[in-house]
Amino acid sequence: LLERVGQRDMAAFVEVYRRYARAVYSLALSILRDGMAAEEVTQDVFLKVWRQPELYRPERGKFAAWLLTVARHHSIDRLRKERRSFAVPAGDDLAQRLRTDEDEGPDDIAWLHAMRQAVLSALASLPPPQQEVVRLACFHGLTQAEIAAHLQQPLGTIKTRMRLALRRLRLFLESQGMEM
Amino acid sequence: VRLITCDDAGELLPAYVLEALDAEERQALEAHLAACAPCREELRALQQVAAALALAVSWQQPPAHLEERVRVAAAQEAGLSPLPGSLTDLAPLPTSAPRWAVSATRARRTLLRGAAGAVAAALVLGAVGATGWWGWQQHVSNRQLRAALARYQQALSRVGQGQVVVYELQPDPGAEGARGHILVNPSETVAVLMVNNLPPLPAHMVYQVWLIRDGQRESGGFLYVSESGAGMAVVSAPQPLSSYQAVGITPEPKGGSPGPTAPRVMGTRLT
Repeated sequence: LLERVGQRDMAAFVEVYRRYARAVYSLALSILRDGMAAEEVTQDVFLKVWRQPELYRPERGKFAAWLLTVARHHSIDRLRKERRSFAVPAGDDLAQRLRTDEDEGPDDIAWLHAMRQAVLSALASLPPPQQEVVRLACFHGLTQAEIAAHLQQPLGTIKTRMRLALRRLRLFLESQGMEM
Repeated sequence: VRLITCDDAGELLPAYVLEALDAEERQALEAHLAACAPCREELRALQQVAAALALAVSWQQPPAHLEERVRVAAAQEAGLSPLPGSLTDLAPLPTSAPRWAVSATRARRTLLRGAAGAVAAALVLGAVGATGWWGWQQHVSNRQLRAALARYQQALSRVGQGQVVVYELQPDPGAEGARGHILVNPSETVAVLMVNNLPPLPAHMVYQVWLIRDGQRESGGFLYVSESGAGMAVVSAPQPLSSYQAVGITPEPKGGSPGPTAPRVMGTRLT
């Protein structure tokens, strides 16, 4: 598909968009908490694919992983440029997200769902303080220092929690045979 | 930049993949990564975890108009027509009409078959001119645009099956300088019509396309033009187009008329 995108095949590009737009848009929206800004980031991310699909290197992992890394980078970049004050929403219930079926839709592909379910389960298995740190960094674009200030905890504590959380998530995903 | 060890790097990597390091730590880590292959391996593994985590956000469906916006922006960058699907697969549209394409259609009637028909469609679209096309596109709302593009795609694929005849529309007094073409597959009931430099109408008026059969005028639908006078229409005929002898365009009150009420601005015989 990406090869066809490289040949300026609009139908292939639209197919790529349809498969991944929801994941990219949701991530941008989660970090930026602004629909217009999330739309712009989504557009930038997909135009990057259109302009230079060769930036994705298959030997380094799945396309979705690369795309979401780009999406996170663009979102956080924008968040920090705008220096928006971070008002972190309190209600962010993972268990709720695990239960609700938000996954219907023709744009998604099966393994993206499977991966999402695995990640949600992995996150839910973390001790709540680790979950909190991951949530603030990952879904809301806070730096470790900002998280420490927000939670009124020492920076060292935050660093440790983040390290432990990622190690545990990695082991969990590996044990499930889930690879991005 | 501060020099760090692999142990330090290992401590920083989790926050790095979540972009949660401050600038100084990030620079130190990036300098280390540039020189340390094992740490780059570790980075890749953690990047996968971070990417997977990105899937755990609350999923929201992007607004429907975003797909069109992205598609149009991509087409604009590539200098392509934003027509979806098969047509753009066939040939990148020229931003201005190649001379030979214009001269081919200047002969009043050009006969093409099969894929050549679809390519001709693409070339005629090119002949409408990129500026006109974009002007037209900005003229309509996203919802209208999506619906229209879907109709063009469908119509072009039908018109492009088998024999395609391209007729040049002739301007009448009051529309001097207007140019246009209609792509007809005589065995089909749809045709695609494109115009350029047709005088724009006030909001309460619309161009209506007429198909003429044995002296009777049947409505073929509406033609909307942009401020620059460019427009496209899917002409929908009650009968296969082989049964009509001519096509004409007149300005009519918004909503259309049962029969033409004003002098013709463009038209051609279909024989």
